[in-house]
Amino acid sequence: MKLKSILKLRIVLLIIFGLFVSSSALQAQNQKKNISSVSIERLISALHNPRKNHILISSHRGDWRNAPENSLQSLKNVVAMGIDICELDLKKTKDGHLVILHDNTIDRTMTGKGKPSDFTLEELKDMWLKDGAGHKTQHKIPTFDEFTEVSKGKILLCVDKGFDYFDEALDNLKKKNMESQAIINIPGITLDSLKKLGFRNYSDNVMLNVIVSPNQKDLSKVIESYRGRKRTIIHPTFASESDLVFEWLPVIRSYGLGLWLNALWPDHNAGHNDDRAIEKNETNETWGWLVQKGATVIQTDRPKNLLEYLRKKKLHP
Amino acid sequence: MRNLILLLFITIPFFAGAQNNARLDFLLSKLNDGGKSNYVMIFAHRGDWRNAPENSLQAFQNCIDAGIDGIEIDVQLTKDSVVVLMHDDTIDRTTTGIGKVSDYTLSELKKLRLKNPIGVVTRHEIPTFDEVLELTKGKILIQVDKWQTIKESVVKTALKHGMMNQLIFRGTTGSKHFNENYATVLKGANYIPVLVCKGNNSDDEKLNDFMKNFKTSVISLSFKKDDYQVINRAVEIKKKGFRVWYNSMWAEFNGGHDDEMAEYDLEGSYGWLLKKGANIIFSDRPFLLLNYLKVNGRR
Repeated sequence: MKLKSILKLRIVLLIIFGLFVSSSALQAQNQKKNISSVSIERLISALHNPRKNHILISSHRGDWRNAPENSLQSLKNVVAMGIDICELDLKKTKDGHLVILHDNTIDRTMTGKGKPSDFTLEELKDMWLKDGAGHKTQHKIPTFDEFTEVSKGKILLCVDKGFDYFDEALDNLKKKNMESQAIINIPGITLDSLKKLGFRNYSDNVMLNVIVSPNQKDLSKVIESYRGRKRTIIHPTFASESDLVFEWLPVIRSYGLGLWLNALWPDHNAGHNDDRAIEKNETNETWGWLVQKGATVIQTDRPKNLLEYLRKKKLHP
Repeated sequence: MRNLILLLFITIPFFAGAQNNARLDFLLSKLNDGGKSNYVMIFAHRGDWRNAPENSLQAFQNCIDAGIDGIEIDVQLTKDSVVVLMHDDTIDRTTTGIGKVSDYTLSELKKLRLKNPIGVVTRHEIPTFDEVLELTKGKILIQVDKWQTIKESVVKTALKHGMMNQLIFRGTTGSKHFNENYATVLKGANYIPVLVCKGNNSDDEKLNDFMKNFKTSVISLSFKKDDYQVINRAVEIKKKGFRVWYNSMWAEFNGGHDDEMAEYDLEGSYGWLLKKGANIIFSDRPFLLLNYLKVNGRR
């Protein structure tokens, strides 16, 4: 080989080696920090094209054990954990701002009383969020805007209780180029009915999570209507295996639709829930069972533990 | 061979008991060593309320499993005079029921279920003080809060289990009032006087009273502001043979150097408390604190 070619080869090999070392180092550092080494592009890709080695984890209201539920801190905590999706709940203030809040009143989670729509954003921002022991913290209620700002490029968002604010929520996401980073929860209505509602921001590209009830009468009609719609997840809950929707789980998957299962509490998953996984040490019988039923997304109140479990089973990067 | 098996059956319970005694011996020896061992003790406020309902058996089991030194519990009396665990004046926030604990008999309360920190119903029940003592015997120290009005019932239950030495009672009262009202009934338990600092001379007077007139191995300081002069007497308190107890939950107890600050500034919160002489810390983030202490060689 000519000297020039050998030199070129050596330089190329050196570059390849350098890239390998730095990416391993980054992996190692990321594993240590528990950050997912998965980029937002890969997250979005896993969302659109479910794959067996990357079951998505949705953290219900963020990391509410260590920070107030639905707070920016609870969001930041799950980003740092390497969780795929942060679920949030939307409400509107008196002066029309979208804020993050679960209950119909602020009483449980804030140092105030009443409906969120009784107050302006400024008034709500004068109050504090409470922690899980009912004590005031230094945190404030976030706006949807602040939430999307923190999530951009870092984590997927699942917008719950936002059907009333479908267009506004999507306006915000579109403005930030974050449409593909969000999943919008909608009630169990047919695709046709949804389109008839005439949402300005509805498009076939919006990722929808269709919440169907255990025994809803038009179950078949609703699920069939989404067959073939690419960006769709079906979200069934069932208190027992004899609920109608239970036999639809494999069918949903066979239609190429995503399957969102809640590990949250027993009447969502026929008793295969988070607390049983942790308190009875029955992770295979609970989370493992949900995986077996074909879940492409599992929503949990124990994100750190579920991530550890799925990684151990090579079901998550 | 048969005799050997018989011997094993007889002696194994003793070993198990001995193990429990070893744990309690360790905890009590630390509690009483005046901080000489450099080991910092952790008390978990209402147990591990982040991962189980507050004041539940699960919340306490989690602490035992993690090697936490003590739990704090809140006690109240039911309508039929049973001591149960409940923090709030009503059961509304933490259970599936409404009203006061004293509105219900134990059997009615046992029909309810505890809620978790986001208000979701769990399978857990309101525990009785009796059940807590059974769970924790020999395993973890118990600080009993809200004890003053029901102390006789609390002590009666503790004596039944032979567990007075595992209990901690804290109070803000001076020695005279303590001796007149509490000393006798609390005999055998660990009493810790608490100085709620005001930032003036009364702090020094009270502290002198505590150190001179109480039979205790720990003194607790609580301060709204972090620049009260009396805090600097922590060194003296330790020299005189007492451990120093600070609360890291809630800024009003520690001048802002609290569990919340620990979220983003461990040195500014737990680090500061240690610098200022704490060797028992009462916390809402017992596992975060445990980790910090381990990393800093204080366990």
